Amino acid sequence: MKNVIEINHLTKCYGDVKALDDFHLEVKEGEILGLLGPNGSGKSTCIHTILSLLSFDEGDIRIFNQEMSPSAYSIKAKIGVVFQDVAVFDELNVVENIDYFCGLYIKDKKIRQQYIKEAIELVGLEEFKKFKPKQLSGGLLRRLNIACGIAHKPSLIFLDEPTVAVDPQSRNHILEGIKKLNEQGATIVYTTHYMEEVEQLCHEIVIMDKGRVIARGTNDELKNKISLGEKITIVLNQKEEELISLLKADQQVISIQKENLTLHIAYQGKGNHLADLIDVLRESNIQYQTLFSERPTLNDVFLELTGKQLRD
Amino acid sequence: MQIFKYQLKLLVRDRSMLFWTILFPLILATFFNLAFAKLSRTESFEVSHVAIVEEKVNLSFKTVLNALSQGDEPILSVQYTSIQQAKDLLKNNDIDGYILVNDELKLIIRDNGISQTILQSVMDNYQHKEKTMQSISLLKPQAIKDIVVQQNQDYFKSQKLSSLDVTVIYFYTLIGMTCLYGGFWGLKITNFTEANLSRQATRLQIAPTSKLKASLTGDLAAFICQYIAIVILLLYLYFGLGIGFGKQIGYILLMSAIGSYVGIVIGHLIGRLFHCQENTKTTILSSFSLFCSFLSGMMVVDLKYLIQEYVPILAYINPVNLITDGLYALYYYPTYERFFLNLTILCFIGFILTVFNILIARRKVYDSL
Repeated sequence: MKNVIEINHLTKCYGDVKALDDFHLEVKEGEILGLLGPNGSGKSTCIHTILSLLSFDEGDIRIFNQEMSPSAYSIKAKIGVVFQDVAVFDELNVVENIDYFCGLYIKDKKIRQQYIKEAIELVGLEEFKKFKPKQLSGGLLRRLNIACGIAHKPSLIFLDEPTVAVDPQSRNHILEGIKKLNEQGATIVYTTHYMEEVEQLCHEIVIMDKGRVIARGTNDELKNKISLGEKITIVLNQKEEELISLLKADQQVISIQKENLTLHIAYQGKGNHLADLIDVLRESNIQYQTLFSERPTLNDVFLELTGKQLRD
Repeated sequence: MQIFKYQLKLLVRDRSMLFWTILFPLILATFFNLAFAKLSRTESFEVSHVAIVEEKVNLSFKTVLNALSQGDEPILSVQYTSIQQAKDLLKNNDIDGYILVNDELKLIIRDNGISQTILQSVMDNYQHKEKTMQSISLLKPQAIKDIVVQQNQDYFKSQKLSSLDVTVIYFYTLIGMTCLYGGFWGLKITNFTEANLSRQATRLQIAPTSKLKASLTGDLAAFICQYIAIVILLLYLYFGLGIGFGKQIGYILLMSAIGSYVGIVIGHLIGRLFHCQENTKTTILSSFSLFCSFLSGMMVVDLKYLIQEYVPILAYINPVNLITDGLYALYYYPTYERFFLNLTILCFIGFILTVFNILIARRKVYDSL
C-alpha cells in the first residue's frame, strides 16, 4: 500500500519549547492510524502543521505524494478534518451548517444535497435536521461537528479527539461511523488520549510524547515491546505473607503492589500465569475472594516507555 | 455565491448585531429628537448677542452681519464696541461672544451653548465662502468684492432662521457613529475568515477555497447589512423625525456608503490586530466609535469647533467628524468644496486601512492557533 502522508524531520517550536521534535510519520492508504499521547504531547500541533495551518521550523510534509502548502487546493479538496472543539455556526441549523462547510468543497448543488443526506444518516441526525446547535445535546453536537468535517467525502480524514465529553451512546455512534468511513475507503488519522478507542479502532498506533514518536506498531506489537506480559489481581481473605514470599521468589514476577488485602502482580513474558498462581494458592491453602487476569494496556506501554501515565 | 449566501445569513441572524447597528441608532436618534425638540423649534430660538471689535474694516463681513441682524427673523443682535467694552459685556453676560475683526476673524466666547454655536456657525459659513471667493479672485479680481457681498447677502437672506438648525450636527454625528458601527459586521466577518480567531474559520482555511474570495464575499455581505442599517436610519431621521439633509440625496448616500466601508475595514483591523476575546474587541470598537463621535460634537457640539481650530489634524483623521462635517457642509453650504474635501479624506483613510488589512490578512499560516 502506498503512503498517503509522509512527514520527515518535522520540528515546530514555540519559543524555547519544541512542540514537535524531529517528528516522523507515515500513513498508509486505507488504514486507521491512531495518534496516541497525553494532553500536551503535540497531537493537535502535529495535525495543524500537517494541514498547513501552522508554520514550522524544519522538515517536510507530503500528502498524496505532493508537497503540502497553504495553497495546495488539490490536496485540500481530498482532506476532511474534525476538530476537537466543535466548529459550527450557532445561527445555522443542522442542514445549513453541513451545507455551508460541504459547499466549500462541492460546488454542484445536487451532488451536495446527496452528500448532506448521507452525512446526516452516517452520524444519525435525521431527526434533528432543522435544529440549531444550541438545541442539540453535547453528543449530538459532536456528531454534527463530524458531519460538517466529512460530508464532502474526503479520502483522508483527520479526527482530533472527536469523542471528548461525549455520552457512551454518541461515542459508539461516532466510532461506528468512523469504521464505516474507513470501509468506504477513507484513510483516517485519529488522535485521542483514550487508549480504549485506539485499541478498538486503529490498525496502526503511534505513541507520542513531548512532540516525538516514542513507539509505533499494531496494538499487539506495541504490547509485545514491553516486558510486562500479564497483570493478575487477587483479593485475599486475610493477609498472607507466605504468598508474597512465594511470589517474590518467582522470577517471572516483575512487581507486587499491595493495597490492604488486594495484590496486583505483574508478570513478564507471554505465558499464562493465572493457572500457575491458582496451583500455588491451592497448595498453600490460601483463601481468596477474587482473582482475575488482565493483558497489558497501551497505558502500560506508555508507562513503561515514559515512566508516566497516559492521562497524567 | 454559496459562501456569500451563508455569510449574509450568519450576519442577519445575529440579533445582537441587528440591535447595535439598526435599533440602537434609531433609539439614540429618538432620544436626541426628544432632547432637542424644544431647541429646534423656531420660537425657542433667542437672538444671539454679539459685539464686534473692528481692528480693521471688513466690508463684506459687515454686510453679512447687517443681513443677519435685520428683517423679521434676525439671527444676531450686533453692537460695535471697543475691545475693553466687549470684554466687559462678555464678563457681565450681556453678550454671548465677541468677534475680533482683523486680517482674520476671531470669535471669543465664555460659555458653551446654542447661541455660541450659532455664532460659530455664522463664522464658519462666512470664512468658508470668503476662501471660495479668494480662489475666484485669482481669476477675476475686479469682480470679487461685489460677488462676496452679493453672495453672502443672498445666501444668508435665503436662510430662514428655522433652517439654521445647529442641532442637526448631533444627528449627523449619529450617522457618522452608525457608519463606524459597520465595524461590528467587519469584526464578525474577520472571525469567519481568520483561522486563529475561530474554529469555523479554521475549517475555511483548510478547505480548497481562497481566503481572499471568502473575505471579499464577507465584505460584500457586511456592506449590504451596514448600508441597509444606514438607509433605515436616514429614512427615520428624514421622515420620522424631520431632520433636514438638504436636497443632495445622492451625495448623502455616497458619503454614507464610504463611511460604512471605512467602518467595516476598521472592524477588520481591530479583529486582526487585537489578540483578545471577541467581546473585548467589540468593546474596543464601540469605545472607539463613541470617542470619535464625542470628538465630532455628539455630546458637546463646540468640541467639534475647538478641535477644528486647535487640533485640525484630529478632525481630519476622525472618520465620524469627516462624515459629520461632510453632511453639515452639504446641508449649509451652496458649494461642494468642503463636502468633497471630507469625502476625499475619508476615501483615503479607507484606502490606507484596506492596505493594512490586506498586508495582515495575506499570511497563510499561523504561528499558533
